Parts: sequence; C-alpha cells; structure tokens
Amino acid sequence: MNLLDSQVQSLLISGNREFGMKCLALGADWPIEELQSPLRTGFPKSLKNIAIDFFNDDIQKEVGLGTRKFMCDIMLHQYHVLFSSMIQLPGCNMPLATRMIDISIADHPDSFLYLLVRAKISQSERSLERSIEELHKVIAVQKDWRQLAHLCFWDLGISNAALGNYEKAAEFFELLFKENEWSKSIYLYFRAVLLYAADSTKYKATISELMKKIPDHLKKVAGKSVPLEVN
Amino acid sequence: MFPVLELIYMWNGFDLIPDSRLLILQQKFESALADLDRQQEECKKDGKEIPYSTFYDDLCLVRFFKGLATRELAVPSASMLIPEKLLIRRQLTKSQIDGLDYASKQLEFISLQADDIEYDHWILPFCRYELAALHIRAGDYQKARSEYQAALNGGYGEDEAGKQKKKASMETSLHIRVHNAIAKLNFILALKGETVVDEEESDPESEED
Repeated sequence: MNLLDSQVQSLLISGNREFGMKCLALGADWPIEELQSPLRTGFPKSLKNIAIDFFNDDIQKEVGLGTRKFMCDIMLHQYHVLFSSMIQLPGCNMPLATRMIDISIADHPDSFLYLLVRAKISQSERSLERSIEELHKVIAVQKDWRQLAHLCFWDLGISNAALGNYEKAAEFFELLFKENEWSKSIYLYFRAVLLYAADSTKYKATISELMKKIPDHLKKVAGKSVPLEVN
Repeated sequence: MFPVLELIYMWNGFDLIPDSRLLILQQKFESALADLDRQQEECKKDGKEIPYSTFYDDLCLVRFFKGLATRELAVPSASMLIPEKLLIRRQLTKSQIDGLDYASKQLEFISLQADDIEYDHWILPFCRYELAALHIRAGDYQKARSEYQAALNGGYGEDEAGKQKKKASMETSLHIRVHNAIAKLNFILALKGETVVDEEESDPESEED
C-alpha cells in the first residue's frame, strides 16, 4: 500500500462503490449506462483526476482486450451474482449479469469460472435441478484443481438440501469432510443435521458419532476461534 | 425444531427453495404449530404455562419460517434481483399483497414473544431484518428503515421497550446484511426523489461532472 501513488491509495480507501463499478464495467466491456447510480452523479474531488485519466479516449480504445477484461468480468459477476445471493446489494442487476455470462460462455465454453457463475445464476433463480446439472458440468470440465470442485460440492449440498434431498446433500458434505480442510467441523455438523432431517431413527447412531467428533475438528486462527464454527 | 432449515437459512439457502417445496414446508409448519398448541393446552391442565423450557424458542422458530415461506411464495427473493428503477415500478397483485400481509403477521408475532426465548436469541434481530425485506417488497420504505434500525439494535426499535439480553449468534453477519440493505434502500429512495436520511451516504466532496 505504501508503495502506491497517493491518488491510487485514496481510491482504494475512499470506498466509492459507484466509481469502482464504472471502472470495472469499462474494463469488462459491460454497458455502463445500465449500471448508473442515482446517488452520485459526479466524483469526489479526490478521485476526479483519476476518473478523467481512466475514462479518456485512448484508454477506452484498449477496452475488451486480454486478462483485464476477464478479471473485471469476474469481479462484476461476483458482485451481481455471488454476493447478491448472500446479501441485498444496491445496484444489483441480475438480468444484465445473465446476458453477459451467456456472451462470455459462448466465447469460452470450457471456462470453469464462467460455468460456475451460470450455475449460481440458476441457483439464485431457484431453478435448482438445472443448477445441479450445471454444477456437475463444472466439476467435469477440469480435474487439475480439486479445490475448485469443492466449491461445487458445497453448492450441490445446499441445492439438494433446499430441495429436501437430505441424504443426497449429506453425501456432498461427507465428500467435503474427506477431501477439504476449510472447516471439517462445519461439514460434520451439516452432515449430522441433514441425516437427522432425512431419518432421525435410521441414522441415530451415525448422527451421534458425527456430533461427538465436532469439537475435535474446531479450528483456531492465530489463537482465535472461527466465528462461523463457534456460532 | 427444524434444525435443517435453521442451517439452510444461515447459509443463505432459504431463498433458493422453490415454490413446490415451500408449499410442502408450509404444511409441516401448520402441523408443528398445531402440535405446539396442543401441548400447551395439555400442560395448562396440569397448571403449567408451557410444556418445556424452550417452548417459545420452538414457537418463534416455526413462526419465523412460516413468515419467510409465506413471503417467498408471495414475492420471492429471486424477483428482487433487478435494477431498483424496475423494482419501484412494479405493481403487486392482490394475492401478493395478501400474502405479504399474512407473512408480516407471522414475523410480528415474534416481537411479542421474544422476551420468553430461552436460547435462540438470534431469531428476533433476524426477524426484524426479514420483516424489513418484506416491507421493501410492499413498498413501505419508512417501515423498512425502522425495522433495519431495530435489527441493528439487537431486535428492538428505539421507541420500543426491551433490551437485547445476550449477543445473538451470527450478529456480525446480520449487521453486514443490514448495512448493505440500507444502502440499497437509499438507492430506492433517491430514485423516487425522496430524501435520503442516512448521513453515511452524504458526500461533502462530491461535485457534478
């Protein structure tokens, strides 16, 4: 941070969501006019010079090329699709994100990340059967980075649970427990609760065994408990 | 009661449940409420107020999910992921308005019983947040703002009696949701030309293009 130009530092610290979204839209070649904010029509004085440089004609000619477009694209999809599925966000535009992801997938049909975003969109639209199918496609697309498949296992677990397929959902959390290190206690708890919902009599012994294992798998980061595990 | 729904809700899965499944869950909620009523009537014959110590925890939880399910059936969260300028132009049908009204009664019930909750203190502040989201759907933006403020204040409005007894589980997660929801509310009010009350959004440095 200390090595950065002071104007760039003020951009990072000022927290101007609207300006940031416009920059990303420019980089990703999204239609900026569909991302307008009613709150700020201008820019704060601290950002004005950066804004003038960023939006000049020479820079605009370079838009749409290379890794920058992909990075900006993914950041915008994170905002409109991923984060908006968790919290209400101002300026969220799912129809636009859906149009843009279909264009991106047409250009890059084997992109793991674009296919994952498409599956998340189906999930947000409550088309869970379609989302489950798309998540399986995502897993099949690449085998090199297993942790990327783990992202899909989580969503497959949640989607099946939302449909009431509790035993199927529990299988994905069992897979996560075996293969992934993010939070084994959460996977154990999820599996126990899902099996309880499926059939508390049939799975009584398994549920009891799983619940007893949870305290042994609680994590500490720098000596502090992880809030999600504690809660 | 319904631990799986509690878990699904905390991990943002409740909004994903399709209508077909919500209708099945509604029947389970009605059945659970009837059972809780029956248990309470029976224990009153023995001179007790409630059949077990966490009775109001279960009652409030079932009402919470019943309120959420009714709200989602009326106006699903998926339909809210559109630009605010389209949101404010929507016209709700009579059945949607009736659905939201019924859902709000389920959620408002929780505020009346929250002081009797034994362990699940998270229910009240989360209930205020979900009630605010309901008011946004109905276009009652000032009510929504009051509910968001109550959610930030442990579940109690400034002009309401009562105080948060204990730090609720997932309180930080709730506060993140509420602050972003208030930012979205300010977007909506600015589009409608109404005054934005939240001082955090004012920008003394801003100037026109």
